[in-house]
Amino acid sequence: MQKFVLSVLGKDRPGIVAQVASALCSLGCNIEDCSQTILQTEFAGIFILSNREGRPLDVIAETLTDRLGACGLTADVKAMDENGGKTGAKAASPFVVTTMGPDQIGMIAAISGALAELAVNIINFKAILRTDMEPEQLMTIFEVDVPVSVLQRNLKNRLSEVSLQYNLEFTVQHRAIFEATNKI
Amino acid sequence: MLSNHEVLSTLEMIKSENLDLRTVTLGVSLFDCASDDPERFKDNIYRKIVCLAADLVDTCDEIGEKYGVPVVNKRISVSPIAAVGAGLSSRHMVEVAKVLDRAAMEAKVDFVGGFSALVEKGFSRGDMALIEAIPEALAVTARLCSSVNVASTRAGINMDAVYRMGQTIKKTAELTAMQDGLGCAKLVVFANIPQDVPFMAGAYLGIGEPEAVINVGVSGPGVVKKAIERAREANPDISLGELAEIIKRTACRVTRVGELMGREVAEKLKVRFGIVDLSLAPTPNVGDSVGEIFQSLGLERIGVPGSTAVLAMVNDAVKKGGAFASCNVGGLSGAFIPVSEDLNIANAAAEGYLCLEKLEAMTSVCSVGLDMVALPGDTTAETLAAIIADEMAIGMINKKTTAARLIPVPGKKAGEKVFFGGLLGEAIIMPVRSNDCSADFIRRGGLIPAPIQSMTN
Repeated sequence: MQKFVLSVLGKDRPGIVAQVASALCSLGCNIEDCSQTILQTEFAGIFILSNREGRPLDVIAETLTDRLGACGLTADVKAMDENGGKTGAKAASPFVVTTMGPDQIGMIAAISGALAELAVNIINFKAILRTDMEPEQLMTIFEVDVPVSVLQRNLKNRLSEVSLQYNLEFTVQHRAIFEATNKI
Repeated sequence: MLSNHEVLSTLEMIKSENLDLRTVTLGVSLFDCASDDPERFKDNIYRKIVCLAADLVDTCDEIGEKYGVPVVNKRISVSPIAAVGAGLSSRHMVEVAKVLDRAAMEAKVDFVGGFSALVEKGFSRGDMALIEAIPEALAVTARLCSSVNVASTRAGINMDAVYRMGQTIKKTAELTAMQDGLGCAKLVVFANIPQDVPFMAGAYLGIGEPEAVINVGVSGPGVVKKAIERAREANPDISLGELAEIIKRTACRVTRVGELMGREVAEKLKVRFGIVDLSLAPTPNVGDSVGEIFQSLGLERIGVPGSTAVLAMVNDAVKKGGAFASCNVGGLSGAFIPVSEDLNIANAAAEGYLCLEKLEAMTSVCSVGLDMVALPGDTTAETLAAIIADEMAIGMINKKTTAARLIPVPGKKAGEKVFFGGLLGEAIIMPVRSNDCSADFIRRGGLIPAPIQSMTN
């Protein structure tokens, strides 16, 4: 069955998910998977849909753009890869990279660029402005998959170069230590 | 997906609260090294230790790097030398001590433990030879640790051994007088010694243990203290029951670190994983202190009235948290109160809040005993033995491990300062009330019979 990917952006308020789900229901689309987050005042959601009634993509896209646009939301729909989005990733180990330092333009590009150079895939990424005690400090948390062919030492060395450039402190730790200390 | 809180709290534990893997200790059985030829015996034990421990330090460093948690000490414990070298003379025992020291150096480990004897019910020839060799062995080696078990709940107290250990401690202090009796810091007298302790100076590999095994010791007094402080900040009226719950949960988190890393080290070295010993083991650094926990729980200093109750609560909560975190909790698991190794406890002693008698009372509820206590140099062997006997009695009756690591500092008096260096720290010498008043009792010798608690079958 054909699958679509829908992304929805807009100012957060009660009722957004209900409006999206209602629109999809009327188009015969089933929500297979979804994730949403709120950053400061903004809502962002991504939905994987199966096209149960086989409507054409352009009809679905136009209907969603119109209906959700009328509610102040920006919607974008595209077809999903035939293989269901699986990338055929190579063997990798889960690590957590954190950085802490002054908030600067370009630092996230530099860190993520360093990760990309080593084919390290970012699974989850958060940036937290520590507004309470250290208002100028930005903390980033990257949950990443590090290919087994990449030595932790090499990853650290590369991140060390970036951290030096942007005056950051950084850590690289296997994810299991966070699981061990937080989850039973 | 990890939450921000999960990432931040773990980072804080490691970075700001001194969470570390205090020791990874490789236990090595030496029973297959036994020989009636001393040279062959020495050769056998050197080869076996160096071979099995060849990758210990590198593996620990690699795993520490992977998880971002430092492995502070890497150590080796061996089968009790008095048993495996039972046919050796005292002179040969000293030679064996040197070989163990050399093997530890070759393996790049901090300490090797197991220059030990188990004499709670009596001495064998090997036990006598080893105990006689202890003072010189500790004086001519740098990394060797020694322990002697003189009592147990099942056997009672071997008072001949207690007296002999009083004399042995005196002699060890004299032979290392230039270093303030440092040799005594590597010598512990035990009741109910566990077979799998990873912490020094009491680590040895028990007779019932496997061929080779990894036992790990996790610490974290700083983590516990911070958790208490955070809870008190969030709720100034928090009750002791709620604080005990927080200590228990924190202990659980800390133990899981040891379990995770210990198993991985064992797997990489292809030896069995033994136990995690979760002990609040302090270092002489601010923020890594058991004494500070007492303050965070509302006592002005460790040693004031209320200290025994606090220690009982903390020790119990740590054990419960550890037991929930791992099926393989062993060793001592609880709270250590080593005087010189904990800056806060050393200061409490120096300022008169903590005296020897209060310390002894507290050992009835802590996980070990009178630990790293510097005493005046003129403390007699009989008085040392009597202090040991008291400590052993606490262990025997309460079915728990107790130990005495006493340092009668040659030429120094109560109130003077001693400096042992490194993790062993520094302390003011504690006064001994009623020195030389117990000789008649101690010289009587014999066995104090096993208590009624021993009859459990």
